[in-house]
Amino acid sequence: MNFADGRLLLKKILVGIAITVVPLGIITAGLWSIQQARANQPQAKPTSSVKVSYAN
Amino acid sequence: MQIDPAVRKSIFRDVSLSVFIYALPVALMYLTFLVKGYKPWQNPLSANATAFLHNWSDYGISCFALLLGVVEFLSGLYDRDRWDGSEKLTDLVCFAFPLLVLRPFVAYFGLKLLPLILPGYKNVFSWVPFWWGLFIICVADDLTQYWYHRLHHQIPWLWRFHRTHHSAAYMGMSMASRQNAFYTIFFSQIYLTSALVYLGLGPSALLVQTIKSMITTLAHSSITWDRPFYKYRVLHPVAWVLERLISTPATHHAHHAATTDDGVGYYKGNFGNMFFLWDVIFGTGHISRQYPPAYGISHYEKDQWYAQFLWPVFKSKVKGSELAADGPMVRTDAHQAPPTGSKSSGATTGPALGFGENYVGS
Repeated sequence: MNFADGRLLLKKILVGIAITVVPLGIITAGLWSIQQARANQPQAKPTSSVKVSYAN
Repeated sequence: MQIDPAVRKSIFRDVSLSVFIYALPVALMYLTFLVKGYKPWQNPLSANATAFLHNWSDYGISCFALLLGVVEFLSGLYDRDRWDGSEKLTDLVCFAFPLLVLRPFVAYFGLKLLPLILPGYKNVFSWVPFWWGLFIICVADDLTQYWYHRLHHQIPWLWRFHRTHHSAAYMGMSMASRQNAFYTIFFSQIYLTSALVYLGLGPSALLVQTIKSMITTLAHSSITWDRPFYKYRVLHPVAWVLERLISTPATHHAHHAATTDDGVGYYKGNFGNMFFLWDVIFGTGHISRQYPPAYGISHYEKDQWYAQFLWPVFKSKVKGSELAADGPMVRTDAHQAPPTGSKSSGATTGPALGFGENYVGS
């Protein structure tokens, strides 16, 4: 294995990293956005504060 | 050696489309939540179901592959002429490597390295519902493998890392994992899926891996399970869907064909692993419902197993081989330009596996 082989291997690893990081970035950004949107949504309030109990 | 301009153009076009496809499951999930008013609260799979998937993914697939190997062996695939000492050693070393080295390394990556790279993000997306997680990982994992595979065919300097997988003159489960060690260890989709598991999509990933292993092992197998779907007219509609959705023996055998000019073989495409759908979308597919008469590389002369497994660390002693120290990056068709001083092994016929007629040996 010589210097050119090492450089080839390095190039291959970089291509592999790019193929991995790009989809990971797209998916995590999407999921993160959903999570943030969810977190920023106001909590749903109960429609009524009246307690209902049923007598037997 | 440069990439053909037309190929380069198609890569850029298809990569752009892929960005959209990667985002599609997440976007659809969000739209569904909005329409249904559903909030993605945690929806974990039961512990028993997860344990079953874990066990099946760990041991079941290996047992399934071995069983398939026994059936192929009994049906006479591994005869001495075709599967001699060098070929046997190449297949066995490549079969053992992922089990003995890759799996522990990926476990180390997931359990030790990812917490260092992404501290505090463990299970941050565990709220993703199981079936949406399945959809996300199916697309992410398999589309990434499609690109990894396609680029090793279409970028000339990457080809030799993938050549070992195509040098076998036969199809069978023994050659499904027949890969150069550097091709295997840097499989992009493994690390992508590991990262998604770390982020909380573990149970979905287990099911995807199980389904994917079965489809890809069967697509490489000499047992042509899809044949009845083409034979009986009543099954043709099912065949139409199947062959466009997943990799079948017919479409994947075509990818391993020794020739691409007979209307059956198509080693310039059919790159899909679990899903053939990527080939349909990107126009790299060829469906013939037939099986090639010969497999492998026309100019293959049985390079030593260590060169096939560990090139470029070890080089082939076969003169003129793509894996030899002074060998070409991509060798020309054996029929068009026979290399001087080389002997024909007679193992395969047809043109060299490569990148189309535009490429000649460097």
